[in-house]
Amino acid sequence: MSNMTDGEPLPVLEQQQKRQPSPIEHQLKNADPVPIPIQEDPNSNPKQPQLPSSSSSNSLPSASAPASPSYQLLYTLRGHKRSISSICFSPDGRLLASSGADSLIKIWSVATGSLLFTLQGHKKGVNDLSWSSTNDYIASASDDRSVRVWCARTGALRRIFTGHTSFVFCLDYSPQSNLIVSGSFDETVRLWDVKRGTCHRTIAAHSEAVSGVSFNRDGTMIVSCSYDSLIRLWDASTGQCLKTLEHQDKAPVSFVTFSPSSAQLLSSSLDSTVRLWDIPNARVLKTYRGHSNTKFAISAGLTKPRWSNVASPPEIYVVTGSEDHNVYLWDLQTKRVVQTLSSAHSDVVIAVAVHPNTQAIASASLEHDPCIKVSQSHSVGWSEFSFFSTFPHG
Amino acid sequence: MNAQLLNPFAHDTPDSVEATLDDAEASCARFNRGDSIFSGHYLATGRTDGFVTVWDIETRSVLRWLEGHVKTVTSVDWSRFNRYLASSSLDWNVIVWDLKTDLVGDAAGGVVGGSVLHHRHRHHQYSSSRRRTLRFDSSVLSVQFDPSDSGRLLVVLENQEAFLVDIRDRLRVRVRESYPVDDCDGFKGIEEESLSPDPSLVDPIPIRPPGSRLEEEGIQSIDLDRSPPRKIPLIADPTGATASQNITAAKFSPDGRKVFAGTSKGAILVFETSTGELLKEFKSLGSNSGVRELSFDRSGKHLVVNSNDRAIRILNVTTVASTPDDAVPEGEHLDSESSTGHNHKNDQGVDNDDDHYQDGRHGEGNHRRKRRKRPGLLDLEVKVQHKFQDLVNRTPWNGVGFSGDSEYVMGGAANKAAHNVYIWDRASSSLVKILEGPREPLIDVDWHPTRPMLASVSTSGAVYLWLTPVAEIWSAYAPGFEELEENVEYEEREDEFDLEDEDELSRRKNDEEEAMVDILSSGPFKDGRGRRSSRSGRWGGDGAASLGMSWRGYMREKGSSASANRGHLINGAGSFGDFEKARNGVGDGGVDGSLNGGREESEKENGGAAQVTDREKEGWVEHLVYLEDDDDDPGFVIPPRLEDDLQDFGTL
Repeated sequence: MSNMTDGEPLPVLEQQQKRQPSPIEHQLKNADPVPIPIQEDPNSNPKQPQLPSSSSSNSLPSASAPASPSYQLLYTLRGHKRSISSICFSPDGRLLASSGADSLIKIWSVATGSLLFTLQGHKKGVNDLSWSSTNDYIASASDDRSVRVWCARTGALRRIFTGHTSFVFCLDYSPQSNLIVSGSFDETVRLWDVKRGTCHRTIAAHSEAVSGVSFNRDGTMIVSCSYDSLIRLWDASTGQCLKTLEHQDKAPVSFVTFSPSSAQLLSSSLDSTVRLWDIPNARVLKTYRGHSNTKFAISAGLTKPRWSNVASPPEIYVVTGSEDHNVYLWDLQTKRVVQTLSSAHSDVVIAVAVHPNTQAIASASLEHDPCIKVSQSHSVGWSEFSFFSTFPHG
Repeated sequence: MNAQLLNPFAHDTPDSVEATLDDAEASCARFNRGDSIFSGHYLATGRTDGFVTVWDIETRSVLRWLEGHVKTVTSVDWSRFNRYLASSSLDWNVIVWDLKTDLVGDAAGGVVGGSVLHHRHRHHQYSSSRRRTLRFDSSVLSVQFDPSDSGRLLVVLENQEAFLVDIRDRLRVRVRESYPVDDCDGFKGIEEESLSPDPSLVDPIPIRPPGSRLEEEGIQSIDLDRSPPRKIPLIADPTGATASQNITAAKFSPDGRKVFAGTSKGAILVFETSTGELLKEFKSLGSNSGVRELSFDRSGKHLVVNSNDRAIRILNVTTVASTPDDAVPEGEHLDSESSTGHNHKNDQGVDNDDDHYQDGRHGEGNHRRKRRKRPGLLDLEVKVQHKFQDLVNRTPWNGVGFSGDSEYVMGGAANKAAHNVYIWDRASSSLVKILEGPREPLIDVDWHPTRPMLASVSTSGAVYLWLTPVAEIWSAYAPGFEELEENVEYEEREDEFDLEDEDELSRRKNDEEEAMVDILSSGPFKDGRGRRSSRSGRWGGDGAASLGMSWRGYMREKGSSASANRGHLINGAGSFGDFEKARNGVGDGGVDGSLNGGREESEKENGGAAQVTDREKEGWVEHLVYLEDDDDDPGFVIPPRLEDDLQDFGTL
């Protein structure tokens, strides 16, 4: 917690228990949920209480008081020999793919934590991954300037897209799975026709390396962000620029993704800030600070909403990794750090992934200890953890 | 979804042929539409050689290749959530295709064995399974899915018969159980505590009032023994009293409740969907010549009719509250149930058609057929609003319809040596544009559901995609830049150049960020123009909301009894009787009770309690809502399959 950026140190909750339960143990534990004792950080500002019980003095009414999540480590996946660059859950939540500087892509079973495939073929480090919406294919972007598509069921290479003139840094599969968008250090965004295996469109998008690209929910828009500090929205079918967003601090933007409704954007920038943008009004809705991110393109995500109470808005957390080796979770509405997964990793947490169906997150770290940790929120309903134990292995 | 960021002043009618699908060999073409969030991303074409192909609009490549018909395909139609595709052909068959087929193993030695598939793997990546084949006694001219239920089809044959066909072999029912929140003591405290006085909270995210009910949902399916699909003929003339007329074209109304059929005598008949009963007959709609084609706009308020007299008419369809027979004001409607005969004044102002008084002589026959008027049934009125025709060339029309936003009417001209599409403004009835294409006759045309885009089919089999030219929006490249239509004088704000206190500034910014945000529902950022907002996202929207609530229910029930009760409700004999009752109650117990399902939307919107059982005493209410048999996933996609190098498509 040495890299506080804005004077006042933000309070951090830490779990007292640091155990690594097996999935089975976890399941047993959850059958009769017992709240974990939560210790308040002695440095915490009394004006910003974190616990729901003392939240009555908040500026926001109690209905929206953050119920703090309690993500606990489920298991650790080791296999990559060098830094991990990206992790991604499949849309059905059964598989987890990871890529690394060792130019390998590994596909893991989420249920068992076993390694299913190692996809070998890229000549240089792999930077980003994306699943097709039907869970059949996985696309990878690499420093060898190529984008490749692999069959996730057999591990066979299906397509190679070449055309970028520099490192391919980010990519996203379209929701219809017919296109892949990729962003590169050559400052362009390219769309690839997955079926034909050709370049569909090239957009001269930015004046610096493109660090993030994403499709919106219905595949009509693409968002790109760059180290030139701009976020741009593009019409997917015409390639027109629709809007440009820039924060006045002009920090390089390292990651961007759409919110579930596609009316907002979540962006990370290298001034240790995660922002939630309102697209129509080009306005920052929320700013999340407290972690440290000045060097790496660390991914961020929004957890699956959970309704703890019919009358209150769902709990949604903003998750991101940090260069202080922790994973940070903020409450979407109050912008407060509600949990840090500290001492989970022993190097920069470069990537986080949010499970599509349950309250689980995965995080991955760099060179010093390249491993993936899958954590799950403690207060899960029975239907959630049964998911982890019932589906077939592999 | 990007509509809000597009230039609102951009052309909303297409301009020129942007792309040609060359080897399409097409005879008809339809964009996908309905409740899928991907509506307008695919184009289904029927081919002259009997194949049906599904194209991806964006990449203009073939995604699916459906082999089944042996003669020219006459029409194709998409189901509501786009999972099913129906095609009709001159080979007397209608085939319903299921586009959702799993990629069963990788064709060449996948992990999931696929030796059977291996033999046909060459076309495997294009194929989809057949859900049902229906054989008729004549060539089939058109097929359409019930817009609310993909288990029902409307089929028009060349021998001028029309059928409603029920192909469902099971019924899916959504069981919604709700109980007062007070019942679950465990959460009572939270409920009270969370009643926030802050109105800002109430606005973005709906908060339930006290005494609200927890709800949980489940889906049950019931198998029906329905091996030969049930066919209900639509009989144009139940009494046989008048000179025979036959149905030449028919369409469901957009809500799926009625079928509008055009006859060989130029009349419009309205049938009840669930029973096939003739409700109304509208004659004297300006012409006695046969109806070639019908098409509704999205709202169901306008109907475009293409007749053999080479004119296109726009009919205004309105519903008025049911009144006693004799209280219907004269001249207000043209339907045959009017006991005072026919008065066509209202035609006169709009339509100067010569033969519009001729219909008096049909009036006699109409009197003889008085039908029972059901209470509560809304009365329909149909009036001719506009009439379009090419007076010079006397062009017949092939392919009429509305634009996606229903603002425009299009007519494909069936010229011998031209490929023209006429576009009229619906409200003002003025001709907006004539699209001129290559010198090949046009046989079918369809307007994209959301974009200014047309697909037209020529006799050569080529499909032309018409678009507006793309203009770069340069102002969008600059952050915070707004384009003005004309010069305006800038008025500086009072405090524009004031130096502001840094603290003050950051505090204000902080305050701004305190407002609640809703990242799950689309909010004001709705899809396209006037389009029904798509339902739930990948994990957003109301789908997630109901899921969240049902988890609550499970927790309350300790995880087991909720589902057990639900099973009991459906499987128990007594409950099943209730269910049957409820099912018949939805419609009116007509010819085929089981045709009454699928009113999911309307039931929900009206809060329609389909059934209340004994457990109401305990504070429980169960609702049964009939689901259609479609995969009700608004995010259904047809992904390309990459098993082969697909260069060999041209050789198929």
